[in-house]
Order: sequence, then C-alpha cells, then structure tokens
Amino acid sequence: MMLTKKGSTRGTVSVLFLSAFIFLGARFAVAAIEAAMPIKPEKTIAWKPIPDVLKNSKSNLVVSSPEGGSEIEDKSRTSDTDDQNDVVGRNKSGDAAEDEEVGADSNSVSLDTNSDAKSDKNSDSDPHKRLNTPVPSSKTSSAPSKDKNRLSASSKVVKRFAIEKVFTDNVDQRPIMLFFTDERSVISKKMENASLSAKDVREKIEKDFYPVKINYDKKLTKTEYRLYKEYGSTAVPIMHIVSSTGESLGWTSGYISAVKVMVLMRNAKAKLIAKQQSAD
Amino acid sequence: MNRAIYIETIKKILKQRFVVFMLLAMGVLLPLSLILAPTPTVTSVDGWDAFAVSTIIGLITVTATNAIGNSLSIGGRSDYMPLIFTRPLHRYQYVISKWLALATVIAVVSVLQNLLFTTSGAFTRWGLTDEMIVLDFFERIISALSVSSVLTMIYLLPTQTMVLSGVIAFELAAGISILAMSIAVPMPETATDVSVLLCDILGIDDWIRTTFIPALFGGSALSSIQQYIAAIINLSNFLAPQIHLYDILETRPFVWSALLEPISNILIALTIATAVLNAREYHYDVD
Repeated sequence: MMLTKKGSTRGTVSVLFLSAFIFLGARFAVAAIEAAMPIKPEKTIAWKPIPDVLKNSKSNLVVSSPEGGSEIEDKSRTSDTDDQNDVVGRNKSGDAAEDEEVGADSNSVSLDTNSDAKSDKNSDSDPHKRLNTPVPSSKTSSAPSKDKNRLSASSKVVKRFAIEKVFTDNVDQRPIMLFFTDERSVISKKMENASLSAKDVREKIEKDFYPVKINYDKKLTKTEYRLYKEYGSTAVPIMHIVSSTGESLGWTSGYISAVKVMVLMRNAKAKLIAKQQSAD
Repeated sequence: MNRAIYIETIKKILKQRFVVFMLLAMGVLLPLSLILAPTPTVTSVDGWDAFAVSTIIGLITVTATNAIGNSLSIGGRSDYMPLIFTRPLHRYQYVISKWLALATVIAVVSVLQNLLFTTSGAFTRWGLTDEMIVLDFFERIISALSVSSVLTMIYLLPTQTMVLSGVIAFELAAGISILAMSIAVPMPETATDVSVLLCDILGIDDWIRTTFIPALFGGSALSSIQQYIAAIINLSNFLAPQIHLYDILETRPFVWSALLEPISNILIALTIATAVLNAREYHYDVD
C-alpha cells in the first residue's frame, strides 16, 4: 500500500488558524465594547407609554362589532352585555348621539360583566378614567326594547378588545405597532438594537405608526397582559401591527432584519388602505 | 488558489442538468413569481433572503454534484482525490479553490436574483430604500462566501458519518438561524402572587426553588435559560451565518462585531477544512 502526503501544508494551517484566532478575538472584544456602549435615546424608537387602564377594574374592555360574525355572542353574558348589543343595533342605524357616546369607530364600547364599574358610571370626562367605568352610560344601559328586537335579527356580533380606548392619545388613528420583547433575550435585544434602530426604519415607525413595546422581563400590568393575550405570544420577539381599532394588519415572530420590518410595515399600510377603501 | 481546480469544479457543477435547472429556478423563476405577486408577505421575503438563497443553492449544488469532495458517496474513498494530491499542489489550494468555486456559483445565482428584483422595480415597490437595495448585493456575496466555507468544511470531513452529521447540523443551524426566537412567559402582576400563594399553600414552594428547578437545570436555572439559548444561537451563527449588512451599517452606535462574525467564521471553517485535509491519508491502491 502506498501512502502519499504530498502538499501537506502545516504552515498554512498555522497561518489560517492564527488569522481566525485574531479575528475571533477582535470580534469578541468589539462585541464587549458594543455591549458596554450607552444607547443614545435619540437613536432608539420613542416607544409610547401604555396606560394601565384596567388597573382598578376587574373588567375587560370589549367592543361589540356588527362586522364579521366569526365570534358568536356569548349567551352567558349579563344584562350589561345585552345592553351593549343593543348599542350595536343603534349604531348600525346611524344614531349620531350614540356614536359620540360609545366610541370612535361606530362600534360600541362596554365593559364585560362589571359590577364594580356600575358605581362609577358618572365619572369625569378624562378618557382614562372613563375607561375604568362602564362606557354604557345611562343611554346604553337603558336600551329601548324596540332596538333589542331589531338586533335579534342579527344577533351574531363580534366582540373585540377596545384597543383604541387604551391608546387614547393616538388621535390621528395611526396603526399600532406592538413589539413584544424580553430584555433578557439576546435575539430580542439584537432586533431592537439593530433592525429597529436603523435610521430609515426608526423614522418610518415613528412617523407612520404608534409604537408600543411590551417587555416580558418584568411583571406586566393588567393592560399589558391583556394586550399580550390579544396580540402576543411566548415566542419573542414579536412584531404585531394592528389598526387603531385593533384589527390585525400583519405580524411576525422571531428576529427579522430591517428590510423585513420595512416590508411588514408596507404590507400593513397597504392592507389598512385596502380596508378603508372597501369600507368607503 | 489553483485555477484549474476552480474552473473544473464550476464545469462539473454546470454539467449536471438537474442542478442547472435548480439554479435557473432559484435565479430566475423564483424572482419572477415574487415580482408578479402583488405584495410579498414577510414569509415569502425569505425567498429572496440572502442567507436562505445561499443555503438552498449551496446544499443543492454540493449534494447533487459532489463538487467539494466525494466522501459522501463512497465513504471517504475517492477516485480522483489521491491523483490530485500526487500533483505538486498544496492542500490549502484545493480547499480555497473548492470554496471559491462554490461561492462563485452561489453568488452568481443570488446576485442574478437580486438584479431581477432591482431592475423590475420590485424592491422599490416593496418599500426598500436605495441603500438597502445596494447593500443587498454585497450581503449576497458575503453570504455566499460564508455558506460555501461551511459547506466546504463539512464536505471535506473524512468519513461519511461525519459528513452526514455535519449536513444535519448545518440544516438544524440554518433552521434556528432563520427562525431565531426565544421563549419567554410573561407574568401578570396578579398571577405571580397567586401562583406563589398556591405553592405556599401546597407546601411545595421551597421544594420547587431549592430542589426541583436546580435538579433540572442547575443552580441558577432561571437566569441560565437565556444563556443556553444564546449559546445555541452562537453555535448556529457559526454553522449558518446570517449577515444583515444594512442593519450593521445603519444601527446605533455600531455593531461591527456582526461584520467581524462572518470573517472569523470563514477563517475558522477554512482552517478546519485545511487541517482535516492535511491529516487525511489518500491511497490510490486497491485493498
């Protein structure tokens, strides 16, 4: 048997190994420096605060919407819920006064099975305080029976979380960008510091969207937890774009680059425009 | 680099009709299907993601043509490699030539794809800025070099079992790299208290903290889980390196470590490939 080892180049391996070692060392050194570098506030997204509107309330913000119909009305609801369904009927009939009372998007807003909230009916006009009270005020809670009859013809209503009542300062009704993250996760931190910090992306988010961040590494407030249940998941990071009324416009889970964030935002905007056009 | 090996490797790849068809599909048909689509979803964006494209092309090419070596097909015994190494040729030249040949094929297809997206105006339509589009070309070349270096290393491993294990590890790493996410369970203000209270009532609170969790994960288990995930991701980044050039250059204050990552990974992969090839004994007799 004849063996050959011609061309064996131990010297070359040493050179390659040394180069790899140097670059690897440089990489870890730079990574350590980067980790220690302070983040300038102007280089990160100005996340909007999440008011804990559910803090002093045992209820959930719920909207009954006449559209859709995929979710059936819960028959076990209390009379409050029945009343809110009545409000849906009145909204459909175009009662302007009722519209003004119950919300921005011709949907009714109510609080589910809330006995505590009943006592707060006549709270002041502050929007956050209003959220802690049942929105069905004297008008909504005393729904006329004729409307109840009319509603029974279309008793299937969709209930959804009234996100617009959480972010009341989103006055221009920009789509809400919910970013669920965990500061302990390297992937989430990488996405926040890299993909979302890029200048074009950051500017577009702040200009066209209402950015909200929910961080899992601390205990979530009631409102944050409600948002997590509605739009989040345990696989972080998650970026979920919803309309100002809570309709999902697009979402993605896991790390995505700035380019994909741009595509996600563009698709969400296109979907929103299409929805608005079809509604018109 | 040895020019003859480089050219012959590319010729060998292009001789395979199936591979040529797949390269055309990836380079032309896939972009056309995405260009004609009204709006791509973020998932379909993976169809033109530099890393995903490089990985698919690289795996198809190497597996179908044995372009790097042929240990996968005949268990480490080769018909032509002993002959090659009897020539006055340094083994690192063989490694570099194979690496560059594979990188060339991947880069050409990937850049062709990008060129179609750019010239058709699809990228602009999808909301990408000019800077993103320009940097995408460089990203594809770097990605091609990275992926081909890892595949060169894997396919030059001495035994069939090692090569197959390497391929599986590469595919797993690619999956982790593409679907990079972490698991975190958020705790509401009230639920935590209730769960702690429940454990207290059942008398298992202390046992869970001092015995159960440490036995499962180690002493500082809860804080270590993210570290385990970080270690897996770092390992995945070596085998399946993703690079997002726009993110690196545009982000605050800088993330140059991400730029050094593919360079160091390429060097490590080529070092291992050359060392393995040096250690291998080629014999061209008959047993």
